[in-house]
Amino acid sequence: MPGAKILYIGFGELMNSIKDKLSVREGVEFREILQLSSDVHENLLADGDIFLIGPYTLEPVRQVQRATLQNSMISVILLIFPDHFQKVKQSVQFAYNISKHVTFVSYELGKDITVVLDNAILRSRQRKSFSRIAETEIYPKPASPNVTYKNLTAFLENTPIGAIIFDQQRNIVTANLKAKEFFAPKLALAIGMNWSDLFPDEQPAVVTLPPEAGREPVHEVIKVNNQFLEINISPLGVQDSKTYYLLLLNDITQKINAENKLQSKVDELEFLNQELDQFVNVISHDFKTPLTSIGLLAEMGIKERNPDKQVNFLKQIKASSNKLRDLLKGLNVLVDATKTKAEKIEPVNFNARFTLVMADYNQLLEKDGGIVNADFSQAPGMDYFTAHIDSLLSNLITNAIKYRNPDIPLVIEIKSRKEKEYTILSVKDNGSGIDLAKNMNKLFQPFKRLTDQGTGSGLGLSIVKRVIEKSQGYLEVFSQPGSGTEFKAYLKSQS
Amino acid sequence: METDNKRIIIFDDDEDILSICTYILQEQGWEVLTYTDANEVVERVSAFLPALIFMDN
Repeated sequence: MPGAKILYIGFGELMNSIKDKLSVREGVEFREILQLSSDVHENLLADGDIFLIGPYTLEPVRQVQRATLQNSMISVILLIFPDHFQKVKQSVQFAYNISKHVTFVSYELGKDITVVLDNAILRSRQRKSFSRIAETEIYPKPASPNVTYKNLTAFLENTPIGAIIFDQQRNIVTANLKAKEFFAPKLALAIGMNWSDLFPDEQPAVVTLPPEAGREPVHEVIKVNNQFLEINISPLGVQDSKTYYLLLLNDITQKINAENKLQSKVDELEFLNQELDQFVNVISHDFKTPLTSIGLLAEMGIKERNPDKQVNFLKQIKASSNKLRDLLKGLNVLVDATKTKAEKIEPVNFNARFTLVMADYNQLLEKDGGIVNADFSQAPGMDYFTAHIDSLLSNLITNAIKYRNPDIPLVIEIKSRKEKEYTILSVKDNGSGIDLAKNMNKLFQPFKRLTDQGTGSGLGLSIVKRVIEKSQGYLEVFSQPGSGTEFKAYLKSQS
Repeated sequence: METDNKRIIIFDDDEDILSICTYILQEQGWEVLTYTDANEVVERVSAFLPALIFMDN
């Protein structure tokens, strides 16, 4: 397993001292320490890597955000001078898109941070092994070279693992019951049968016998009759001046299946955890602002002597509490949209859903002069949740209308097509467009609106994205300011 | 702050915060301009010449 990288951004002196200390440390995996001046995140960060941000780095919040966006399975260590510690720590903690694996270190020049690094390395290793089931397998020990096949045969006959003994020409000398079972009914094992008859599809590496007794045994996992068999080949002792080989077969199908199942559960949980983290971050930030306002306004109201002004404060408190209520309402909508896995999967006809959804918009479009062209000929429909298709179409059409370019007539193109396992629904407009470089972060966050153009809760896109992702799909956006926007929903057929 | 310039620009995406800040600063005799759009701040700053610009990140 390759070691985790430590990527360092900051000034050189510190890097050199860390490098010196770590390179003499036993068991520390590291490939490289990079000193980079500004843009670190050119896809350098892999799972389990450590991103170390030095104390002189500008915009630490952005560094953490960009690293997190690139790969959230990394550990971030932020070195901060004591004077700035609280401030920087808070601004990172309250920022969006921040990995949960950030360690804040109050740093003074010359301070030894190898302990912090060691801990981070340890944690990132644990995480790494979480994300991938350990790749190593424990294989049985090689048979003792002093054991000969004749005294083994009786012993192995009734063991629950398969055992086959070959001679130097790779012909079967004997095989136990269990081994015969593994190959039945496709192949009836018989004495004299050759190795290559047993594993006709296998790579040559697997069928290479250890050249002589006493050498390292061979371990492989192979697939026979839809079973995963762990095989172990080891030389036996010399008997009648010939070398024999013992092949042990162990059925690990159940184990492999369980591992795969567990792995996909772990992946799913990791994803959900990340999503939840991000969600809580956003929500807590958005609820904090009106709450702060209410607190401040109340405080000012208490101090204020002028009754007119006091009434004014009360009105503002009322307005802020209304805002909180609306946020809460929106939150319920968002949670409902993603939590309940819409009623049922059924064949969805895009054109029918489109016609129905458009009923809400026809009047509006007629009044303001806009047209919607729909072409579902490439992919007329799919098996999916009807409610989700409706929500997708209506949210994307709403957006196109809201953010239209006031100087030209609105044209919306809706198309469907198939690509590999996905059915793609695209909604393209000629509206005011989005500066993605600036706004990609905010685009899909709940309660965020990018401009003051249009009104709304700021929930539409966030709902669309969540609903699609819930069913293993994804949403792409192409846009440039002034030249329209295209959303492509990659939908996976549900079954 | 010892200065004759009592002008201040505040930028935040939250209107409530802006109105509270405005109230507090006006009470102290400051002339306050508030914006929710960063571009506007850039446009207005040379004409208004504030003593201080207060920006939310």
